[in-house]
Amino acid sequence: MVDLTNLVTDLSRSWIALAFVYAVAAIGLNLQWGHTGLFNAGIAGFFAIGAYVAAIVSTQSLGPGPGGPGHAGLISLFAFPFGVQIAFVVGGLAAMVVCGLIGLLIAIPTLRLRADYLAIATLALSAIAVESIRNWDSVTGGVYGILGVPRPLEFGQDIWRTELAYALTVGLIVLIVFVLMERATRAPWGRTLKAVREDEDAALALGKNTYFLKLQAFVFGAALMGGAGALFATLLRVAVPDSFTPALTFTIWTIVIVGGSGNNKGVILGAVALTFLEYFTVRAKDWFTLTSYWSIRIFYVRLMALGILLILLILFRPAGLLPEPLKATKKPRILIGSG
Amino acid sequence: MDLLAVERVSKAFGGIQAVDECSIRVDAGSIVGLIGPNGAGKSTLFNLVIGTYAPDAGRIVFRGERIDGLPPYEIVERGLAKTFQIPREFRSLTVLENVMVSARGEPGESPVLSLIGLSRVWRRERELETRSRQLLSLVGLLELAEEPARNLSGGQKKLLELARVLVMEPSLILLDEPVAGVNPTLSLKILSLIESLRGTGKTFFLIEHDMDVIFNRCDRVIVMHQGRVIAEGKPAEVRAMPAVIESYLGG
Repeated sequence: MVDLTNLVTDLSRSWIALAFVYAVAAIGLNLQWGHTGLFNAGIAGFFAIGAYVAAIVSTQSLGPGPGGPGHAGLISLFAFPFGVQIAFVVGGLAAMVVCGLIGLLIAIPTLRLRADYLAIATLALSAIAVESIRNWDSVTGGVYGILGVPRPLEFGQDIWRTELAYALTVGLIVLIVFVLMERATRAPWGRTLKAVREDEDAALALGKNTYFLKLQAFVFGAALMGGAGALFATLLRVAVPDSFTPALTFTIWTIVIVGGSGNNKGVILGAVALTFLEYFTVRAKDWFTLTSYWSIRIFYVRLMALGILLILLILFRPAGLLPEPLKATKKPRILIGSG
Repeated sequence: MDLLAVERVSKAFGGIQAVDECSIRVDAGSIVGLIGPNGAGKSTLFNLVIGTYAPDAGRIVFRGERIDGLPPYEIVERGLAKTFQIPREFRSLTVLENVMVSARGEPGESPVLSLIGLSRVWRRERELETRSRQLLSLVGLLELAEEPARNLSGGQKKLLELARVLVMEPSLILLDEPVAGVNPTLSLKILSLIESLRGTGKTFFLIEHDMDVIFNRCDRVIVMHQGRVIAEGKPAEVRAMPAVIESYLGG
């Protein structure tokens, strides 16, 4: 029924990488919501901005033609050996910086207000970002989007060009993001963020600059979401506005809640679990002999399954698959500096 | 010398004049009690001093420096600390972490220093843990150090509030009803702790409705009514004032 070798090959075809892309965004949301209690309802917007910044940085400018309105591109800046790799890194970093700055701009006025204002502002930002992208033809290519976003390692040996090699590259990025974020959030900084999450007024009266702390968490989280968007564009090799619907925001939220809000390992597990669930509902019709009635509907069963899963989880494991650790801090094994 | 001087401070919320041209002095090394009927503006006055609210008018001077209008984290930096009337513990943090997170000036609160895992951050962290455990032992919560703070009883949360402000090493501590809702033995323990800390040079300014605390433990008593100071002096003097008996103590 299910051939294991085929399964691995099939999974490596973008599914594993997709799980890792989600994981980067989920680590970002975990910083904002899991640790600091900031409600970001505009994840899709940060994803979209990150994807387009990376796509513009790492592709060649294209003039209007029969295929579409064309788009802006900066690749000529990197036209030298290993230019694609440099474009990939610069594109990803630029996506993070731009999303961090946009996060800062939206956070400065709204983080002084109560939590619900941030949710409304980020939701609005997301809608504005996606609609601007859809309509700013000369820069973003409008509804046609930007095609041919390069992946890293697109040179040399054939084995480097495989889907698996790409998935492992993204996996390495997840590992780096995880290690850095784990260091930061399980240090005194993360503990202070949790104090802000638990009782902001008390943290304020105890002499914490709660506004600045929330700003830090929101900006770093937004930057990670932008980085995830950049990876998303390389995964699909295109950036098109239709990829960035509110459903994407919902997916990342589900990952964080299912995986374990406040636990970086948990949200990575959540990303893998949810992507596998999606994969299963897409592929089930090939594995099992389904009647045509069910093979059409199986994909929509996914949403119902997701809903039931969420309800069961909230009932039986409200803290997620891997709950937040009891102790907020954990000394890292490797320290920098003497003493 | 005055450690704290509140000079003609006012604060209104909508149509309610919560604090009305209030002037108060707190001498260094003393225990000063603040009493008055509910709604007299006592807690608001504390919140004005610690910076939670900015006064509409007047000046607040701490150690010769104006602090009114400053954000709480700058006021705390100068050596002031306040407990909450109803304990505001960080529920999911452990008791020990509640104390440690309250310390001021920790380098690890910077995301960058935390991220790179500077050994200085973790050395300070170890020192802070030792100090926090000593304070927990002082207030008798050491056995509960690893418990999530939400599991503490009401009285234990009051003790945790005290440990949290002590770790900040303030010179002036504002206590908002430190023994309200606390059983007599525990209350006695808190009061003797305050007394011994005063011996180490700390100053206490406290709101309390327990008249035994006010008249037997305080050096000076200030009485507020409808946002104004209506009386102040030594406990015995204040107790005999007709205005105080009429508005607060009763006949």
